[in-house]
Amino acid sequence: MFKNILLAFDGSAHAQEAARLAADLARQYGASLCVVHTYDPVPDYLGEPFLQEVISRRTEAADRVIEQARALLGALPQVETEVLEGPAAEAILRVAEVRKVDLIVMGTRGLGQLSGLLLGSQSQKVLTHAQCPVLLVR
Amino acid sequence: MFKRVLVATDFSPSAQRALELARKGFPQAELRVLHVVAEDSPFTATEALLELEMLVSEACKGETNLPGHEVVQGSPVQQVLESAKAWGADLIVVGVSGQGGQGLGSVAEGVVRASVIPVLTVRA
Repeated sequence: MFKNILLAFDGSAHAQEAARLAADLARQYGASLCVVHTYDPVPDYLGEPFLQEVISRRTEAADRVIEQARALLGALPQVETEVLEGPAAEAILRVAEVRKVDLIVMGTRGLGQLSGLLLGSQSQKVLTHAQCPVLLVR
Repeated sequence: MFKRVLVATDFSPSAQRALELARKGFPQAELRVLHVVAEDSPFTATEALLELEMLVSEACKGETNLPGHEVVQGSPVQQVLESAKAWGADLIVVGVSGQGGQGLGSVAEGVVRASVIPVLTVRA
């Protein structure tokens, strides 16, 4: 069934639930799991040395989020991670296409989005454009 | 893993795919297929039930253990969520139509927005 699962992970509560579920599915199907984390785009008008500084801060923060994901996932047949510059939906859709993913697992709503929004804009975009099934987790 | 999977169908190709995926993906789970007859539906509840029975027996040809199915009337999003809750579903599978330029059927989107249990969306 599912052979190639993508987990979109931003560290939010919904994403943590999604991670647990994605891990269960990967174990059940013996599927490989790719964890995708995106960070906010870095404005290139910053110029040096600030640009480098911002990039390294973002990637350090991203590494911590990836560590958190790995801890939640536990032992799995195969895990890979990708840290990419956002916007999240575009990055997730790109990875899904390149890796020929057959399932995307993600939280219904992510971090830093208005709590009034019941469906995050990035989640909605992935849902709308993904060619494979998408599992939304709260 | 999932034990009770509710598949919402509007008889569209994406809903067919949703049922197919639910059967293949979660063979150990109990399935239930639901159709909601909305106010503006072209079907009566009786017609919808016949259609649903045909759909289920077609999808599960040669199997002895057919998934349960039900037709309810009302607002599709609300009825899907209520039916899921009443039955104790732990996953909802729903087709995404890709019509109207939005790419996301309003029922699928409404269910994703409001559901407290995971929702799997499937494209035709």
